[in-house]
Amino acid sequence: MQKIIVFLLLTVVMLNAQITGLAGWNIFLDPGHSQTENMGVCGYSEAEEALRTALNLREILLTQTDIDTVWSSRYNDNVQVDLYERTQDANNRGAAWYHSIHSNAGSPSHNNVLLLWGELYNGTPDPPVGGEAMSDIMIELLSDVMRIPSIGSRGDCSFYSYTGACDASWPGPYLYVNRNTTMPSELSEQGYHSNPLQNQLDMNEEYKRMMAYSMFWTILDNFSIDRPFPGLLAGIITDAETGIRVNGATVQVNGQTYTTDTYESLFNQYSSNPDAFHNGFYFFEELPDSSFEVIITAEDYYSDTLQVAALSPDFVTYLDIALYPDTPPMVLGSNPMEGDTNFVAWFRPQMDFSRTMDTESLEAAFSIEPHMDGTFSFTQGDKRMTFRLADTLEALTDYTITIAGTATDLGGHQLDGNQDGIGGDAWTLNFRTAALDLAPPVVAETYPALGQTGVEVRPVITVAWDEELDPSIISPVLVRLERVSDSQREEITLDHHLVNGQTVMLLHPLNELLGEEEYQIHILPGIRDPLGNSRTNHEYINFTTCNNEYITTSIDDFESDPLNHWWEIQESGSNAGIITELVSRDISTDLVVITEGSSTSLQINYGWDLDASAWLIREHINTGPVMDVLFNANHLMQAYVFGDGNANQFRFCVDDNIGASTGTEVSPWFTIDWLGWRLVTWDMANDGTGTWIGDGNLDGTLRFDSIQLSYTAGNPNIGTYFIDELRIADQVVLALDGDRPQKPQAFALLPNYPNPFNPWTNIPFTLPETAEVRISIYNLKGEEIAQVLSGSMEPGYHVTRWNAAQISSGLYLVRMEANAFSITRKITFLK
Amino acid sequence: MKINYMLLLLLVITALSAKEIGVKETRQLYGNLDQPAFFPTYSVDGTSIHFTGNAYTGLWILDRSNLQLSKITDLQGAGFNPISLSDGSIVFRQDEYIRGRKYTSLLKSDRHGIQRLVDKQRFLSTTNAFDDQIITLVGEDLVLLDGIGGNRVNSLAGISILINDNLSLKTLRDGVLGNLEPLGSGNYIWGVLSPLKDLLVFTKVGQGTYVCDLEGKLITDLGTAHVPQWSPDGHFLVFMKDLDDGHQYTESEIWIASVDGSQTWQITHTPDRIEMYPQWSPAGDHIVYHSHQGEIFETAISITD
Repeated sequence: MQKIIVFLLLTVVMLNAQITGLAGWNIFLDPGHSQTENMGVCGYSEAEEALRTALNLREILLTQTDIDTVWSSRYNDNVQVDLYERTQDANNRGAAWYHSIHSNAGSPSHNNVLLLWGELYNGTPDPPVGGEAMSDIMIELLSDVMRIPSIGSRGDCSFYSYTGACDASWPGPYLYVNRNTTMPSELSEQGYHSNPLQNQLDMNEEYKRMMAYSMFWTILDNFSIDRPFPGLLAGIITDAETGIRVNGATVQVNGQTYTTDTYESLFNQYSSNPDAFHNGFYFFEELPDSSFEVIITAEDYYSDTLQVAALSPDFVTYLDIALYPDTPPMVLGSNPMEGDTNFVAWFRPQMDFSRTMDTESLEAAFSIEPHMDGTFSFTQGDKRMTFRLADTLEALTDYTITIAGTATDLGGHQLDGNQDGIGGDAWTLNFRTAALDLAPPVVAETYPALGQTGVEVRPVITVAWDEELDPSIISPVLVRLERVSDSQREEITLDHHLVNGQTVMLLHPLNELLGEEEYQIHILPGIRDPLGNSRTNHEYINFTTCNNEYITTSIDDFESDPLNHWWEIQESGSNAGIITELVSRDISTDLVVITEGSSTSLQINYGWDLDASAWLIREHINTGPVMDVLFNANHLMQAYVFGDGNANQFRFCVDDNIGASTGTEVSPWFTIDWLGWRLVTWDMANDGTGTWIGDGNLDGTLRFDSIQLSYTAGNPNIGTYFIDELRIADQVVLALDGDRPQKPQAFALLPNYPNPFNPWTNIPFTLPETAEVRISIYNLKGEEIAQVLSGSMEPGYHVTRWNAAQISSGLYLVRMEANAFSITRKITFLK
Repeated sequence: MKINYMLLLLLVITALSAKEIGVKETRQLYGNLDQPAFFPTYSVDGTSIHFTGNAYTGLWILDRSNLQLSKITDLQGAGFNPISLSDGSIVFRQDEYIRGRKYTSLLKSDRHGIQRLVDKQRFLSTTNAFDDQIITLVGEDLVLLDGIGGNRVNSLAGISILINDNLSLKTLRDGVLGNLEPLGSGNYIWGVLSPLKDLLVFTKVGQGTYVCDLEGKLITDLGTAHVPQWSPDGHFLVFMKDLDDGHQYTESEIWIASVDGSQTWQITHTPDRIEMYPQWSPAGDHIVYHSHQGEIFETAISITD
C-alpha cells in the first residue's frame, strides 16, 4: 500500500513537473511596433504577429518553468508604445533580460531569420554582455523551427554598417532596444512579413506558438537546462499537383484533431477573395512519447494515413503531407490526336496527363503496335511523356498506342483511360502516318517579314520552318544577318527550338541595329531535315529598321524570382474554360530575349476546355516592385511574347484610378499567330481598350494587373507562351548619322532606366529650348540627397546618369527643374 | 457642476504671470565618440554635470566652468537614475549578473570614496531624494536612507513619489506608502513631483504624459512628452518630443510647456540632430541634454514676464 502511495505521489509530481533552473530570473519581452503597424503583404501586420509570439512565449515560460516573471511591453493590439517607453519600462522594472520580437520586410521573394545583439561601432559587444550568446543559440533554433535560412547572429552595428551608421560618428549600438536597456538584450527577425507565403503562415495562431517554442528552448539552452520532451508535431499540407497549400484539411493524431485554416475560419479577415490565401499549417502539442498514426482528410482529396515512428525528443517533429485530388489520373491530350491520318513519320508521339505520373509505371504500361523501339522522356513536371522513336515510323501505316490501366500517379492511383471516373482501364490512341517526306525544309514564316519596314532596332529575328530541321547543321554559317549598304555582317547569337514539330530559329543581334537602315537575312544552302532532304537555294529576306527607339521602365523583367510575385494561375477566380491540370506557370531559362540581356522568362502553359463557352486565364501580379510602377495612359505597354503559332489570344490588364475608385481595364486582344518572339505593344493613348469589367476608359494613375489569355474556337487548345521584358515604354527619335535628334516639343523628364536599379540608372529628359537645368535626388522626407546635374543645356534629348552606391535601398524622388518647368518622378533603388 | 479648482488656479496664475521663454545660445559641452555621453543631470548646486556612458555604464562629472572631466566609477548600471546630494556626493546603482540573475546595489560616492548603501538586491526601484534623504523600494519594502550620513532612517516627513516593479505609482506621505492611479491601472514609467510638491507629472505607457494633483486628478494632458522635468520655479516642464520607426529614433527635439499646457516653446530646431533627455539647471537658466550620437549640449534660455 505504501509503495502505491509513493508511486501515486511520484506520478502527481511528474505530471505537474515544472522545469527548474530559472527561479530568480526574469525577462522582459518586447513585441515590436504597435497596433497593426508594418502591414504584411497579405494584410497581417508585423505588430500583430510579434505580440502573439511574445504572449505565447510568456505563457510557455510561466506555465512550464519556475521563472520569476515575464513582462511584455504590450499585451494587446490597442496600445501605442514608443521606443522610449519600452526600454524605460524594462529598466524601471529591473528586468534581467530584454528580448525584442520582430519580423523583417523587403523583397517578396526573401525570407530568412536574423538575430541582432547590441554592438558598439568598434565591434565591441554592448554591455552588459550576453545578448550575443543568446542570439547565437536562437538563430539556429528559430531558423530550424521556421525551416527557412538564417543570415546569422550579428552585432547590430556591423549589420547596419551599410546605412552609414555605426562609424566613428555613431557610437552604437544601432538598435535603440539594445542601446537604452540596462540588461543584456537582443532582437529577433522571424522571417519576412513581405513574403506572401510567410505572411499567410504568420496568420496561423499555432505557427506563432511554434516560433515561441524556439525562443523558449533558446532560454533553456542558454542556462544549460535540459529541454523537456516537447511532444510537438507540425507540418504543411499541400496539393500534390499544384503545390498550393490546402485549406480545411483535417489531421487526426492520438485522439486530437486539427483543421487547417480556411477562408471562413481566418482568411476572411484579410481578403474578400475565398481563394486568395492558404497556409495548410497544422500543429499538435502535448503528444506522448510514442509512435502515431496520422490520418489526413480533405474535401476533394484522397485521404491519407501516415506513420510517425517517434517524435523528436527535443524539437518539433515535422511531417509535411501532399494530398492527391480524388479523381484518377487521365490523358488530357496527345499528338497525334485520335484518328489523325497525317502524322509525320519521324515526329515523336506525345501524351499529356492530368497530373504528375509515376514514370516507371507509365513506361511499363506503354505499348505501340506495330512495335517500334524507343525511349521515353518526361517534361512538364512528369505530366508530359514523349516517346522518342529509335527509327522513323513506317509511312502510310496504321498505329495504335496503348497505355494500360496499370500506369499510376505518384500516389499509386491508376489511370482512368476511358475517363469514366474510375481508374484501372487502358487508354488507346489510333492514328495513321503520312506519306514519306521527300521535300527539303521550307521557310514557313519570318520576322521581320520580307520587305517589312519600321522594324525595331533591337529585334529578335525569327526564321520558322515548316518542319523539324536536323539540329546538327544549324549554325550562323548557314544563317546570317547583313547590312545591305556595306555588306557588314552583324554579330548574332543563334538558338533554335522545336515548337509543334517545327524548328524555330532565333537570331539575336549582339548590337543595336542602325536606324532607318536596310538589312538582309541570308539563308544559305545546306539546311536539311532529319531525313536528309537538303536545301540547295540561297534565300534572302530584306527588311528596314525604323528611326525610333524605346525608353523603358520595367514592370517585371522576370529576373528576380518572379514566381513569388505572380499568383499561381489557379488562384485567380477570373479564370474560365481551363483544364486546370494543364494550366501552370514556370520560369524558363531556355527561351529568353537575349537582346535585352534577359536570362529568364515567364512560361505559361495553357489548356482550354473545348466544352466550355468562354475562356480566360488571368495571371495576376500583386507584389514586388510592380507595385511601385505607376504610370498614365500616355505611354506604350510592351512585352515580348514567344508564340506557339496556335493563334490564341493575349492581352494586358491594368488597374486604373489608383488612389481613388480603382477599376480594371484591358487592352484589345492580340492574336498570337506567330512562332518565336515578337514585341507586343499596346499604345494606350491610341489603341483603345478591350472589353472586360471596366468602363473602357484608362482613368488617372495606372498600375499593371495581369496578363490575360483566351482561346479562339477551332484552334489547338493546348500550348505554351513565354513572356519576357514586361514594361512601360516611350518612343523617342534616334539620332541618325551623328545628327542631333529631332528637337523635342516640350520639357519632359522621361522614366529612368533601368528601374529598379543598382547602383546606376539613366535619367532621360527633353528640352524644347535652351534651359538652366537642375536634376536632384530627394528622399521621401523631401531632403535633397544628391545633385545629379546643374547647368545650362541646349534643346534636345539628353540622358544623365546617377550612381546610388552610397545610399541605402529604397524609394527616392528625382526632380527636374528647367526654366519654369519642374517635375518629379519616383525611382526605386534595390541593392 | 464640478470645478477643477487646481486648473482654475493654474489658469489664473498663468494669466496673471504670462511669461515668455527665449532661447539664447547652445554650446556643446562634451563630445568624444570613443567615450560617448548620455543622460546628463546637474549637481544640486549646478556647478557640474553628471553623465553616463553606453548602456548606463559608468558615471562622470563635468565641471561646467572649465569643462574638466573626472570619472566617478565605471560600474555597470551607475548611470541609471543617479541622485545628486547637496554636499556634492552622488548616489548611484551597480548592476551585477550572477548566473544570469540581476542584482542591484546602491552606492554613494563622495570625497572619502565609495560607500555601499544597499547591497545586491533583486529589485531596487527608481530612487528619489528628498532633502538629501534617499527613498527607494527593495521589492515592496520601503528603504529610507540619510543620504549624507549613509544610515538608514525610520521615517520621512513630507511626500515623495516612487515607481515599483509593477510600474505602479507609489506615494510616500509622511512615511506611509500609498497607490496613485490617475489613469487607472497600467504601466507608469515616469513620475516627478513639482518643486512645490503640489503637482505630479507622469508618463503612462501608451497613453502619454499628464500633470495631476496629488489626489490623482488630471490637470494637463501634454500628449507625447517624454522625460518630463519641472522647472525650478514649477511653472514649466521641459521634455522631448520624439519619433521612432520601431528600431531607431528618427527625430527628437526639446520642448518646454507651461504647466497648464496653454503655451509651448520649441527649444531645439535641428533636423540633423536628435536631442534627448533634457534636464533643467537648478538656476532655471539652462537646459542640458544629450544627442543620439553621445554628445552633451547645453542651451541657455531666458524667462521673461
